[in-house]
Amino acid sequence: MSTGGRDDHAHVDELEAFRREAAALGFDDGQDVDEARLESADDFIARMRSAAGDERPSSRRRARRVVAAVLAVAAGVAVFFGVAHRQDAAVAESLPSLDYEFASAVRIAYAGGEDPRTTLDSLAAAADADAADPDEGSGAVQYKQSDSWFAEVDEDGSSSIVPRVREAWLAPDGSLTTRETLGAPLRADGRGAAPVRPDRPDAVDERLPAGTVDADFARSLPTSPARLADALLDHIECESRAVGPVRSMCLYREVVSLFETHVVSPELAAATWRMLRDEQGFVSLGSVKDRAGRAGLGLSIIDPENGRYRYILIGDPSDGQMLGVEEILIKDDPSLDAKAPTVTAFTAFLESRYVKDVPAG
Amino acid sequence: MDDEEFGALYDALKRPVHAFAARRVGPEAAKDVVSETFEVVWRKRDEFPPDRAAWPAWVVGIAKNKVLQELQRRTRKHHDNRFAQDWTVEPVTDDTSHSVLDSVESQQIYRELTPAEKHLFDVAFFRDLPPSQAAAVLGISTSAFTTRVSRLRQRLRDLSEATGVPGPRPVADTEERIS
Repeated sequence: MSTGGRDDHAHVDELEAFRREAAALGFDDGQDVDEARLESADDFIARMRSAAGDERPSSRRRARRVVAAVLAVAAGVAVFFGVAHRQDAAVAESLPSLDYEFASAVRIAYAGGEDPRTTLDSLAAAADADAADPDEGSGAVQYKQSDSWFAEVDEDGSSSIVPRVREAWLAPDGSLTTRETLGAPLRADGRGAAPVRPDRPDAVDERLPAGTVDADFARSLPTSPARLADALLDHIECESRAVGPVRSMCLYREVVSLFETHVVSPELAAATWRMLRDEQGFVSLGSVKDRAGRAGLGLSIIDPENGRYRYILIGDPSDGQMLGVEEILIKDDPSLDAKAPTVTAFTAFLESRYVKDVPAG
Repeated sequence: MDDEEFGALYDALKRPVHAFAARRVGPEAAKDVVSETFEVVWRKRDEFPPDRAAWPAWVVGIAKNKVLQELQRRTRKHHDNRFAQDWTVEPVTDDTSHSVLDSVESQQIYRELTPAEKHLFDVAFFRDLPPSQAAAVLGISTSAFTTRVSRLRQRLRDLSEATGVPGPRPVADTEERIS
């Protein structure tokens, strides 16, 4: 970078002398900044163009691959493991990241986040307060309603992001009834997740037999954070018990699965947040409005294996329940037809309560 | 400014901007300052002056505002007392000279500078800024800037002696001009 030649020598000499003396005292002018700490120019330009929507892949072939991958996931029980099992799905359209207090959408790939303890304490306290007057419904059937998304291909080959509204009834015998239907496309800001429509024109029902799911799993879990961690690590058969990234990811996946499948009591929700307080790798992303427009608090952990994914939990500051989970590709993956950063999956939890009956088939 | 020019500007200035910001807000927040600064540059790239020599001053001016916003954000959040970093890691002060990039000794010296001296130091030490543009960033004449830099050199020597930090050998002006 040229510094121009219009300055008198006396001014230039004085300034250069100052810079040399300051450097000799140990001041750093940026020469020693680790290059890897900062984005490359190419990545920065690509990010800005991506954020501006300059690059919107929309090939028919790619969109079809997306639908095939998502339908493969949606068809099986693996849907209960949510984001952890959707990593092999390519992405045709980019879904806007949410803007978090400590990680705006354009910096979601590398924002460091902040110490999670206050956020986790706040969520735990909200759950504690909710325990005094819980609103869990009544009955023995656990009812869950969530909103996820996938890409849909039109006749002309264009694709769009469409949420999938899913209802699930988990009976005491472990039988599971699910009903899925298409929701309205999300708005440009990535929000618009909404409860199921009464008419449900495209509903697809599925009934899985007794014993499919351990219906008492959530109720059987201890509410001591340390014992809860042990129980969840046992359940997922985690390959490491030592505090560290492997254990943290095991717990993340178990927490997602727990809230996706079961009605979680306020006591268990509080224990969950307190449990994560003692684990490594979680950071707070601060306040956020979730896909349904609700106020939330974001927590995130980055996949320790290759650093390619940022996984996000969004907790409800009003009652300590889970509002949603998101998965963001933050580094390009040669095996995926997607440019980082991009949201690869989200689920917004819309209803969680006990009901008396499973709907008749 | 086309992509190639923007890339060259980014590559030339991202590290100096990081060092500039890290001295005030710490190395981690400085990464955000770098990004936010160049996000503004990107949006305004068509408004940059045709004279490329003037570009670093524009970037420094934007970075200066981003650092100020970060300090204001911390102050505001400190009063809210809602989130964790406010409480533990960094006290809310304009004297956050805790960059890991500067030596411990130089941080000690920097802490002794007045706010005005720190501001002058940050701009003057930004490599790639010629005197006329550094003066423009500060809103003063080039002559006044050079005078203040001269005083700041002496101030650094005095502080070096007072704090026991081994100081640099003063560079003789005449020797400099000859070379």
